[in-house]
Parts: sequence; C-alpha cells; structure tokens
Amino acid sequence: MTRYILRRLAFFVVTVGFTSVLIFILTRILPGDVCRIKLGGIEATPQAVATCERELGLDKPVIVQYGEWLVGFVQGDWGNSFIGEEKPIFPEIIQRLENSGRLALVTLTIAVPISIVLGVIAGLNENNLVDAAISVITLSFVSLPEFVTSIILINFVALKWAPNWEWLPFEIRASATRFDPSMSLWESMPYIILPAIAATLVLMGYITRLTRAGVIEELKRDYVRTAELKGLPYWKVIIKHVLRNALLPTVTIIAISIGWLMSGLVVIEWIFNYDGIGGYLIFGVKARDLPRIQGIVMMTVMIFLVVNLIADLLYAYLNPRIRLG
Amino acid sequence: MHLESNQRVRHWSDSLPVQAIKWLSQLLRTPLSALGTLGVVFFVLVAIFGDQLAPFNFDENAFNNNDLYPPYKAPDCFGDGAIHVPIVDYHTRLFDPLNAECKNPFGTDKLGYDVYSRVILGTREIFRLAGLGTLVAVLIGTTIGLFIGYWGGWPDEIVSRLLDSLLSIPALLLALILLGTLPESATLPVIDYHLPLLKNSILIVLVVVYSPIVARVVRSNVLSVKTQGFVEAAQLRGESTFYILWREILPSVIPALVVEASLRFSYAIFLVASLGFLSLGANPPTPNWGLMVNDAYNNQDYICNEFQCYDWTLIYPAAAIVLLVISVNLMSDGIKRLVQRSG
Repeated sequence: MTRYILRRLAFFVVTVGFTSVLIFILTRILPGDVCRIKLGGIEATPQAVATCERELGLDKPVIVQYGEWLVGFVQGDWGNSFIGEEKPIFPEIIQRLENSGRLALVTLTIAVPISIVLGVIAGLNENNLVDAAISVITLSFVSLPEFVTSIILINFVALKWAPNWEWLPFEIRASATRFDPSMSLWESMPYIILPAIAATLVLMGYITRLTRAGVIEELKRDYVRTAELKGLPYWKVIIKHVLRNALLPTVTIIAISIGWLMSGLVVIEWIFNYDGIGGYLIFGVKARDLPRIQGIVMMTVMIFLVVNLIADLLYAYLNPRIRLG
Repeated sequence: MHLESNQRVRHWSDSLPVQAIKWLSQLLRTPLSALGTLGVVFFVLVAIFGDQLAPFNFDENAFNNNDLYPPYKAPDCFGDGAIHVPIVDYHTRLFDPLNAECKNPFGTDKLGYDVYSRVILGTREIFRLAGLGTLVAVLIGTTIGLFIGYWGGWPDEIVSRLLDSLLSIPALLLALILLGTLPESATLPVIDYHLPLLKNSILIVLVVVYSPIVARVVRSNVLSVKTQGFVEAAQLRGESTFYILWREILPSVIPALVVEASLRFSYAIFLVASLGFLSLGANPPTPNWGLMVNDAYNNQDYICNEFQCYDWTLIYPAAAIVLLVISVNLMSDGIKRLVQRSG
C-alpha cells in the first residue's frame, strides 16, 4: 500500500511539472507578442512595448521567466488582468472558485443519489422494459448538448411552464441577476438550482450507465450465487455483497466529475449568467486576457489532478486487493 | 500454386472495403444501431449534396426587397404557416398563407436568411470541421501511439507523460486556451468560411485535443499485440519497423481504433457546436449550427410577441445537432458491441 501511494504521488508530481510547462508554453510562448496583445494590436509604439516587456519580465530568458511564473503562482501572485482596471487575478479567481464550488455541491447532492438508484434499478432489471426505459432516457440526456438542455430549461420550463413561484422570482428564472457572494448557500439556492439541474442531466447519464454496468458485471460472479444459496435474503445479497463491489468504479467517476464540475461547466455557466470559473474564463478568452486564462487553467488542472489522486487513493483504500497487496 | 513459407495467405475477402461492407451489414441488423447508422448516412448525403438541396446560399437574403422589417418569415411547408403569420400589413403584403409557395420550409431568421438552407449547409460545415478534425486527430494519434507503443523505453516514457499532462486539461478547457492564445483566432476575418482549412483554429483545436486520447488507446493496444508470435516472427525475418507497424500491428489495432474514432467524432460534434454556441472560432454568417442557436438565443428570436412566435430560428439548428449526435452515439454503440463480440 505504501509503495502504491508513493508511486502514485511521484506520478502526480511529474504530471504537475509537465502540465505547468505545457500551460506556460501555451499561454506565454504560443501567443507570440504578449505585450502587443495587452496594448491592443499593431498600433502600439515600440517604446510602449519595450516598457511593457520590462514590466512583465519578458526580456529575460525563457527559463527564468518560467521559474518566476511558477514561484509567483505558488505564492499567490498570478499577475494582473490585461483588461479593465488591471486588478490582480488571484482574489478574483478565488471568488469565482467559491461560486463554482456551490454549484458543484448542489449538483452532486442532486445527481449522485438519483443516478446511483437509477443505475442499480437498471442493472437489476437487465434487458427488460425498465432497463430499456432508463437506458434510453440517460442516453438521450448524454446526447443533448448542454446548451440545448439549458435553453430548454430556461425557456420552455422555467419561463413558460413555471407558475409564479415566489421562491424563484422571474429575474432569476430568466438568469438576469447574479447572487451576492455574501449570501449563504441556502439564500443563493434559487440562483443555483437551474444550472444545477442542467449539469445534473449531463452527469446523470454517465453515472447511471457506469453503475448499471458495474451491477450487471457483479451479479454474474460466483460469490453472489453462494450468498443466494446459503439463504441470505435478496436485499441483503444486493446491498451487502453486490453494491459494495459494483459501486467501486462509481466512486472514481464521482471524484472525476468533481473536477469536471469545477471546470467543465463553461457552457452552462455562460448561459445561466452564473458568476463561476467557466463564465469568467469565457470573458477572458474573448478579451484575450492571458493572465486570467493562465491562472484559471493552471488552477483547474491542479484541482483535476488532485481530485484524480484522491480518487485513485480512495479506490486503492476501498479495494482490498490493492490495500493489502 | 506454390506459396513461400513465410507468406500469409490473404483471401480477397480480407480486404478493407469488403470488411467494411460486412461490418455495415452487421450494424444494420440491430434496430437501434441501424437507426443510428442510417441517420449518419442521411447526414453525410445531406452534406455531400448540400448545394443541390439548399435553395439559397447561407448568406443570401431570401427576400428580394431589403427594406422590409422584420424579415422573419414562418415555416411555410407544413401547413401551419398561416398560424404563425400575423395579420399585419407588411406581412400580408409579402406572404399569402393560402397560396403559400414552399420556399422557406424552416422559415427565415432576422436577417432574412433562409434557415433551411443554413441548416443544410451547416451539415457540411460540421462534417468539414468535426469529421476532418477527427480524421486528422486519428491519423496523428495512431502514428504516435504505434511508434511509442512499439519502441517502448524512454521515448515512450517521455511522450506518455506529455500525453498525460495534455489529457489532464479537460477538453473544453484546452480548446478554450488554444482559442484564446492561437494567433489564428486573433486574425480571423469576419467571414472565415472561405479560409483554407488548415488556418481554421477549430480544426487545430480538435487535433490537439483528441490526438493524445487516440494515441493512448492505440499505444495500449500495441503493447498487447507486440508480444505475440507473428510480430516476433516478422522481427526475426528482419522486416523493417515500418513494415511491422503497417502490416503486422496496425490491422490488429483497427477494431479498437474504429470504436475510438466514432466516439471521438461524436465528441467533436459536441465540441464544434459548443464552441460555435460560445461564438468562439466561428463568426457569423458562417452556417455553424451552434452559432445559429446562439444567434437566435441572443436575439431572443424564440420569444413570442403578441403576434407570433419566432421559435423556428432556434428549434431547427438545435434539432439538427441533437439528431446528428444521437445518430452518431447509437452508431458508435453498435460498433462497440460488434467489436466486442467479434474480438
């Protein structure tokens, strides 16, 4: 077990190193003239470009630039935005991270129980009508692009069908306002619920299908037959024996989907005018605000890698073959 | 007939086109994958014969007189045109529901462009981007995967770590970084439809995002094939690396590759549509389905006023995306089942 953890940690450090180099190349070297982008195109005078390059440290060798960037990143100095008041990026991103975290939390709370129950039901009813219905529904949710589900949710569900619910005022249903970061999670719930449902529909397809596959595979094992033959009641066989093994891969996929929820909700956050990481990134990409892109991507990749690491360690812990091996 | 002892007998039915036809006929046997395959074939045909099917060009005004406002026109082929058309002077002057000519089956958008023609031409656009992007990604990924899998050792170690770090960036995020930093996207002209394909930033994005995944799949398959007897025999015969990779290893990798390619294609359609919806990498009036949905959504075209609903500008392109993605998903599910059964 210790050896496995150490190997996994070494692997993590190497991947983080490679990824940071990659992101540095993608956001510093590839764009070419960072200062011209910042100053707004070819009209910038050479003097202004030279001053800007000195300020950003672009006149130094690439290796030194990379080192300074990495040290700054670790210390929380992620550079200043190129646009607007040129505020420091770090506090802005942390604020959005908290907002995205709320959305991720609500989504997981809705999605995980529903999809595990659906997946187990489908798996236990393999190849009959119930299974077919659940499979078709989840497959069609996976096939719908996020923006289509979101638009349907906003326009055809929230705006047309919903009566004048007091807890979901019209401005919020139409995504015209954003919540104040000082609100509690419960107070901000009306703002979160619609994007969370949209994200749930996407996530549900994956988790349900995976759980179903796991249950079907485990049901064929010998130990299930043994447990049944020694006279255990059906529900006990399912809960104590089958689910314990069948849900192992599901743990991993849930952990990975946390990474996806923190980064991949770009489209949903954009449509619902949600003030999270994704929406903030899109504005950055459109304005070619390189420090913002750099900071967000570096941070989301870190989250993604850490979550993957935790998922692997959790999997190892839950799986006795690795834990005791 | 005398055969050299080291030559493998190849029957004519082993050739790739025959195999492909066999696969296709097996795909058509299960109802769901048959539905998906027929859907994909339908869209391919629409893409090929788009010019003949579309009555207007993608940026051609479907009205002769531009001074009319708004130029929205309801779908006029399904008999419900009369319901949509308001009894307003400027519209009755223009459009007589009783003598409706079937000219704009999906209606027109706020610029007077024919939605039907744009959806048809958008099929070609999506195949051009997603299809070609997947193809190039598969070619590059296969090449990388074959070589690093076969060579092993430190080249494999380095390239694998590099692929891992590329894969640790979520696909959409990687696409966004590239679109935000690639010089091409900065210099994109207003109409990018006539640009040479290689300058299209979406294509570059697809290749960078998807070739590492393909490379990893191919590599793992190569690793399991390369220890087998026929590869060793070829090595002992003194065949060149290229011959071994091309003639001995690649044929065993192809089933997994086909599954992966069809899966990548469905993701690529998603990515192209999503990026179009975010209006990144594609500019109006390109007939990009995602962009069309975004246009309709941003202009609140779908919202009904007191006279009529303009929702067709949103519904038809969105339906086209959904239908294509469902077809490709069903087809790739079928291919996967087929490969699992035969392999």
